[in-house]
Amino acid sequence: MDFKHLRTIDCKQGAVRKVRFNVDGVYCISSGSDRTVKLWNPHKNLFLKTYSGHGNEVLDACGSADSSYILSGGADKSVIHWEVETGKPLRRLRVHVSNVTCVKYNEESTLAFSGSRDNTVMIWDLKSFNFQPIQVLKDAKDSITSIQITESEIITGSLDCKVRRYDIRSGCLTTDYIGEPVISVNITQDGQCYVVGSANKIWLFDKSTGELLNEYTGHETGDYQVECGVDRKDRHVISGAVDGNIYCWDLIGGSIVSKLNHKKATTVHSFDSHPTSDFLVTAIKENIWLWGEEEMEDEPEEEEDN
Amino acid sequence: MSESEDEDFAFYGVPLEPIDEDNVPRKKPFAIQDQIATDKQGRRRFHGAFTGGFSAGFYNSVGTLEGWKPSQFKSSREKKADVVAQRPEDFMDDEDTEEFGIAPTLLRAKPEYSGGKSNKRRFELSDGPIPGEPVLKNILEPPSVTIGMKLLMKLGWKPGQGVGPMLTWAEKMGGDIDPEELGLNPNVLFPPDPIQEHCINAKSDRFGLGYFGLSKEPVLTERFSLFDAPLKVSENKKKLSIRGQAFGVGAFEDDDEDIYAKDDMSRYDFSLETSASLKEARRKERQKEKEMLALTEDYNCIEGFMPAKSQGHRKKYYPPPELPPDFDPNITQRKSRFGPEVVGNVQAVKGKHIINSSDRAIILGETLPDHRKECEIDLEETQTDNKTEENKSPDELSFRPFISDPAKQARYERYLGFINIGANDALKNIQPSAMSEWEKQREAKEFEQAAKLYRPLSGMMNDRFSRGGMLDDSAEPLTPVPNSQPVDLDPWVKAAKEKKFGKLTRFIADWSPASLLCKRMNIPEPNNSEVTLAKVAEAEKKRRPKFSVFDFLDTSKETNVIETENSVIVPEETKMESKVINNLSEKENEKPKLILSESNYDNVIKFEDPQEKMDLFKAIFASSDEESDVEKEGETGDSKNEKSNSKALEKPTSSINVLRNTSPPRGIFANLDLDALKPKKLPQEVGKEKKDKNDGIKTQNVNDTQNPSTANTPVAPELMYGPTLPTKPIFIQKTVAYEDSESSSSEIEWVEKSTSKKKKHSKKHKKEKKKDKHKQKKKKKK
Repeated sequence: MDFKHLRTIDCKQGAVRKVRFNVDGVYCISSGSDRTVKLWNPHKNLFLKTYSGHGNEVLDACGSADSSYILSGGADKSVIHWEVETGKPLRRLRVHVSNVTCVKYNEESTLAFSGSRDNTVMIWDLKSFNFQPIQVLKDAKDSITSIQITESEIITGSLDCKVRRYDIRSGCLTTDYIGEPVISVNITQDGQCYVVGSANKIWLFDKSTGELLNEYTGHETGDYQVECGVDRKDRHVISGAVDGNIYCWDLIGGSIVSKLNHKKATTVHSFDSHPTSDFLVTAIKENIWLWGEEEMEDEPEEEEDN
Repeated sequence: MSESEDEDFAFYGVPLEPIDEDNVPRKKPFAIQDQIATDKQGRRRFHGAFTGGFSAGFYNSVGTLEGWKPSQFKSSREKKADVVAQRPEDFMDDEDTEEFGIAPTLLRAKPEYSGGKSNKRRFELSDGPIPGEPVLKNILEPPSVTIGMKLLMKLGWKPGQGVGPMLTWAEKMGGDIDPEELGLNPNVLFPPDPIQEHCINAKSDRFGLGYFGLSKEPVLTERFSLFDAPLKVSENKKKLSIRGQAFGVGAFEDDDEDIYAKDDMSRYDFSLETSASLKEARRKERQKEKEMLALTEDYNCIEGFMPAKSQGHRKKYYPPPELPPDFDPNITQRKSRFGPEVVGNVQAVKGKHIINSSDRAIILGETLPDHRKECEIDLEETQTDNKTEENKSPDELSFRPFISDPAKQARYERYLGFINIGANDALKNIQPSAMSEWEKQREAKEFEQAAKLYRPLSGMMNDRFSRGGMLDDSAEPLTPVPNSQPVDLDPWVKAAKEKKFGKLTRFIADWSPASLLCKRMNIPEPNNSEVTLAKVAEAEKKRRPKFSVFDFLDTSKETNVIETENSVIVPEETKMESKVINNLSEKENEKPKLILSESNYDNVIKFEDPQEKMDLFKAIFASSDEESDVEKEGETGDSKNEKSNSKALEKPTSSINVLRNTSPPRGIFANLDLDALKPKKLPQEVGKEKKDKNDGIKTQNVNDTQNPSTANTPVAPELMYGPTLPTKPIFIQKTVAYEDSESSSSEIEWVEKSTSKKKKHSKKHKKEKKKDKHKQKKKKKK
């Protein structure tokens, strides 16, 4: 991971709670504590649009498969489905009884999944005019911290020390007890392993058997909800930390390969890796940082336009 | 040219709209007589002098158009005029006695008694959840009279007076004026003047010291009284009389709220010192001189010294307040109406806590020493004894489920001991050899159940709480308490601690994704049996809340079931009937075949019935069986020849009986007392009637043959139109003699529409047959 610091963007929206690339990695979506969601092109240092309408901090946001919608959830207990172009909220889903901590689309962006501090995951149908969830997963006994959607699975991490995998194809719920509150769950690109973040530790679990494959330590998470994940080639496990670094471990060896220093001693709590090329976008305080091996080349189409 | 001239002008503003010639505004303002102030009823407000208004009376003048009109006075020889005592109200308008008038006639309680509320307000009810006067408001009403004022009034103080001992005129006025000069009795005592409160307010504004801005209070809150004597200010013996407001405000000037304001001369200062203040100052001076004199006269001045002219600053000394002789330092607590009842005083409550178990024992009259001993013994026992004894609480021992069998009880108690050790199988060893293996097993099960069921409460609670690491009442609360080790961890917790993730930490459960979820994820729905079951249950749950009027019909379920039954049975029936009919037509005596059909029929039922429907079948068939029994009894009275025939007829009817509605009569039938008619019948007729009843529609035809008058009435339904005519008024039937009841009861019978339709096809053939049958029967009977 020879990432260089390419750019810092001041989001001017209070603390950036989460930062996410869109589906092709050209844009990124930042959710801020000043109740707005902002859309950026980090590669060109462009601010594109603000989506305001939340009643409280926005805790998570993500883009749809065709990049024409944004889903966001916040501390105002609502999930909002935005239209990217107009910036209007298409629907405001208010059924959760507490903060919505994480939101996700399914692959086709026909469904919205939202996890909340009210211990539930709600599944919303975005195609019909239905403002009630089509299903509510109430298995968790504590706040849902993160949620991942694969082709046929819903994976949730909860503070009740459990990772739950709802397999839609087989109709079964697999619960793995981790022993420590789960603050972040991710899946490897091959879909075979969970990357589970808990306090000061990251675990790698085999999805099919639930066995522990590896452990990654050396960073500190403090009391923050620090995200963890893998890079796009499954070579490294990545996590934020309280000391202003992004830690990268070798997935197999388990040793720290590199640290991306943000030159600030504050928590890097959110990051997202580019879906197709070697970029990383991280959130620290009110800024988002873009990291990469080299600057993204302008796409040929755009050159033609120019 | 003119155009160029126009161009030279620069126009500013918006031009006025051209004047409409038709609607030229009146140049003349409204004449005085056209200006009418009206009251709320639209009547003229000011007339007559009583209101003291600015515009009063007729055209703002006193009087009427005709001038003052006296009241009529008539007196004749026949009718002498009464002496009418005139009251002021006679000369007043209605409004003068109203709310805004000067002489309200309504009786109102004084504010002291009305609780500060006007009469109107008092009866206003709240719109809140609790009707009536708001309770809390009543409770929390601020007192109008403070407790201090109450006390003072008891001492003889009156509002407006100053506090202190009564003073003579001289004392009060400073001896300037002799009371006798004014013709006052010098012994009359006067209350002192009220002391002007001097309170220091924190300065919250940035005005200069002593400056007060204009008050924000509305004008109307200023005090005024309508009938105050004109203000008189005497200044230098010259009386200055000013009355009213300097600038009058017309009634038509809406904005001015200040119409009742009255200029008060006391607001104006005519000089820096008023006479009163001067007098006061003079008096003070004199007093000071006197004091100084008193001081200096007492001591002879030493040479070289002179008496002080001014009194040095002396520190003020305030003596401690004197306690009244009957002062009781113990405060008697005022009891709250809502608070818990305080029984006894504080000491009693305290005593309650002090009492320990032994004290209580003494109070209750228990034998103390024994108890103590017991305790000691118990302690010793628990210390020395093994596990089995330790867990035996008195509760456990007190419960003896098998007390009737002492041997068994003993075994049970030993069994409990074994359980505590963990040797559950040891029971076999103590069971007597006389018992069979089966009995032993049964007893073991019984014991197990009993032990489970009758665990004492403490035992149940033990399951829920883990034992604390230290005693609660440890002597030193400040010593650090070591972290209590959870006694037994769940296996998965243990595994997670040891990082043995895998099977131990994994739980797999069934989960049913919503069908829409599957659809949207492009995944076929998992068809686990349990999943689908769950779905069905969910679907049912969803369906249930749908509101339907029919849910409330208690019989709806029953009829539904019956209908479904019918759908099953009817085809069989028709088959059977056709069989019977065939048989009938073939031969006179068809017993064997009929029996066959009967058995067939039975088979049908047995074949069809699932366990749950048993009751229903019973309900349907049991009654018919009874009836047929009665029938049989009745028939035994008849000739034996008839028996075979009647039996032959009876069987199909009983089968038709399936259609009979066993539910209690509803609607118009509710009032019909069919049972009352029944017992009066002769046994023969009973049999007959039963048959008829059972036959339902079929009997109609039979009856038709009996009554020639009614025989004509039935017409083929195809030939008729319009609503069907009622056959007979039903309520009359109640009074019909029982000879008639035969026919009536048959008509009362109701038949399910659907079933009747179903039968139609077979009936057409049947009707004729039946007729023949009955005719035969009649003949035989006769």
